[in-house]
Amino acid sequence: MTIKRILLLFLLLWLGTGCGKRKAGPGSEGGAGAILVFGRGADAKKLDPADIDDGESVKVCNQIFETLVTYAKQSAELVPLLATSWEQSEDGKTWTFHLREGVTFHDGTPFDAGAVVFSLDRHVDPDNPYRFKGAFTYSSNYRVIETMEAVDPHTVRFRLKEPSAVFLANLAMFPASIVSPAAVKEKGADVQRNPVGTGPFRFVKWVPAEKIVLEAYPDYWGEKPELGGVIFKPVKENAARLQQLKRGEIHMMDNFSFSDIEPIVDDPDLVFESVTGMNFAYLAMNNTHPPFDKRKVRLAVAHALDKKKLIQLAVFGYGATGPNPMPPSVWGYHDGIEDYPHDPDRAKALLEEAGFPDGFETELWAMPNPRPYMPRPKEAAQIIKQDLAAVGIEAEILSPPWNTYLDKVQSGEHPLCILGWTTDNGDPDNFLWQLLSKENAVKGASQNVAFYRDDEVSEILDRAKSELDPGKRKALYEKAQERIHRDAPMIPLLYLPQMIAHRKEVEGYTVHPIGVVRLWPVRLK
Amino acid sequence: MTTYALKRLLLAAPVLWGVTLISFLVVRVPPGGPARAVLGEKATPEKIAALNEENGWDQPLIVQYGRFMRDVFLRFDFGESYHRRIDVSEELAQRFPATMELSLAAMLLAVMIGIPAGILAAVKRNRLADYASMTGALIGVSVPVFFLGLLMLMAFPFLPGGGRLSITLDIEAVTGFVPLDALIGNRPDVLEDYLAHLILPAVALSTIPMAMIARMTRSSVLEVLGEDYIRTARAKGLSERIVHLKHAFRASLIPIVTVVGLNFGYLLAGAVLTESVFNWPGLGQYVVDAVLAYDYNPVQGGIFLVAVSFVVINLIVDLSYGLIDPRVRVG
Repeated sequence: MTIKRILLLFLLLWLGTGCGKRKAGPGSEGGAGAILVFGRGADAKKLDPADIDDGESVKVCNQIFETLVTYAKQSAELVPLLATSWEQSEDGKTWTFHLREGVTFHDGTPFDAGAVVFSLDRHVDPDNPYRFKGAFTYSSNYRVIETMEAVDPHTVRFRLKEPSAVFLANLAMFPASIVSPAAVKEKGADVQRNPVGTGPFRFVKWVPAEKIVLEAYPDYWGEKPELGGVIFKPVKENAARLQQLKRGEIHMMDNFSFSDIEPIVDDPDLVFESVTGMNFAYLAMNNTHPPFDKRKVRLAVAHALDKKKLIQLAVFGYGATGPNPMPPSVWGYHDGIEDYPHDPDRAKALLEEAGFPDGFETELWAMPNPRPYMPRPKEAAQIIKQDLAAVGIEAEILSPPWNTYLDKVQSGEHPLCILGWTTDNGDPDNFLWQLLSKENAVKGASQNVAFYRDDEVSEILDRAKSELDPGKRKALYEKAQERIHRDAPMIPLLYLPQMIAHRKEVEGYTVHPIGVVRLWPVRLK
Repeated sequence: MTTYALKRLLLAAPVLWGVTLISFLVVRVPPGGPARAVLGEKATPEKIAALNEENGWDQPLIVQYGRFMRDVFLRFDFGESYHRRIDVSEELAQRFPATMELSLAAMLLAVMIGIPAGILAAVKRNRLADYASMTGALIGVSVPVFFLGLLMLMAFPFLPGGGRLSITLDIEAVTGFVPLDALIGNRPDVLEDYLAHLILPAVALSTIPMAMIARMTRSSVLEVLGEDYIRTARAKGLSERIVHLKHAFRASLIPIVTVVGLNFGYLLAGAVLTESVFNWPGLGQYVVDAVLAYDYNPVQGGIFLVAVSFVVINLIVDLSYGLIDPRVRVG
């Protein structure tokens, strides 16, 4: 019968064309000038570095644009990039940067002080004509600038409203990337899809939802990449992305599930790399909501939690924990503080002392969707609930949708909530002041969801913001961490690693704790 | 026939209006609003107010609806995607062809295999062919598309794992439909690459419609085969083949066409999972991503486009009834 013949033919076809591996297509072989294919979870949103806030857009912009200073190879330490050196005045309010010479934008126009002023003015001036109705989420970081001056083509002077110890770190962030003024003026809002920077790769094309193609910039001022180009490929499903990596259709991938780590490690063609990241998850206790206004109750919660078990169950062991509201990779982390041990008996004793011998009922808020610092919030919430129940605290888990979650939590409607923070610039101020100063405990949009309003700690954090001496600044942050640990307004839960997986043919990649992806040192064998 | 067609066309208008109303409300009903969700942990009252003002999200609903209707029906303007600042109509124009291609391919497979299988099952009722094809149909309709997709990816490592084209190939987008553009641009290599990418997702997507069409064909043909005029045809001495294909088949077409039309609509809207697994850059993924990102405009635009397609397909199905069954035209 014809049907049988068709089936037979199909079977032969399948066996014949082989169960061999499929190559990623023309141009993906190794050697100099090779094209690297990077598989990621979603497409970029736009490519204007001043106006983005999502990791996928940042990833691409990182290859195209550069900042005055940047992070060292594997830390948040700041090193020269487009600026070769800089000085501060005695009062810390004037910064002078000497710019690198011989740098051009991808459109051929020269990089100079005028370009620096142009780029930063988009943040500083709320009425700047080149903001194109964008969100410009990070402009507030640069409002400390009072005036900017292009002293000469290779010197820029900033005058600040007040001395700021985070100014330099903020200049290393992607929103402070230097864009080509000529391109912005000529293309207008179209620069979001046609970026022009000074970086080692220049933009070629963007096929929405399919790929973003970059090629090595032949006139790059620094060490030119060995790669001929990079293609960013969005592959939504983690399982599908892993399949593509295994087949060699993509060479690198990130943002995979913790459950994918074992298959990657077991595969001889793949490499798994990780480094402690710069984000953390925490359990915030609303210090204005009884009984969490009592320190003993908060300490009881601290002793009730078994954080090691949480790491095992919530992130399969791929994480760390500690006493401080910032991970150990951040400068200024106080490693002399001993964390509260898991001690349910001590917890019960503390509760009794606080007037709750039979425990109490409360609510535990957990977000319904995964976050970079908390990939499995529902599971984590269950584990915490169990730990609390073991000492008599009955917690009901509530998970409103993400936008309402943030709304209510930032308005202080919760007794307990799980939240987290991803660093913007690797500076301790970005963790401690942001999350625990009383200035940020404003009901309605508080980033201090523990509503911790301690005068002394807030004063220390404010002082540290403008303390320019690194030794004194570190001492201030250490004191703050000691006080915070003593008061226990929140309990840090998890410090998660930055992870990447790639084929063994990919060499020269370094995982960065802040999560910056740098593809120019990479070689494809 | 023309009055029939016109009547059907006029009925489409209130349906479309209803769809715009629902898609407008559906994105605005959940509390919280998009501003906070879009800004995330870094939201501040000033940023939220600025965003609301800029997009008109703080206006009363009736004003927003008025603006929405004016933009959609007078200017075909669905606004911009908040995150990407591109016109939604432009993005829809890019994503729709991909979904159309996949749906058409899946539909073609479903019809080419489903109908013959159904006829075979009806004709060889209660014999091996019948049991085999109906079991196959049951499996097809039960296996989750997502799981089947992943299984196929693992079973066929020599076929591409996703996307419409290999990463390093490019084609000038004249019509937006890759196979057409490949033919126009005289690029047989692109066409071959495209077909290699199309097979797996099309097969995965076709399983459910194929199963439903096979079952419907079988029952419809069986019913017709029991009719008196079929006995008459046989009594006249006509061969089984002519009886089946010329007389029985046309009479059984109406339920089959209905099922095909409904399934096509389902494919257009519901290819999300397949698109997800095979990374096919279609409309389904586009709308889902917009929903998850609280991006109003693409969601409204996407829902509207799918609804319009569904209405058009149903219209074609209704009109085809008139072609198939002359009795319908007069009624």
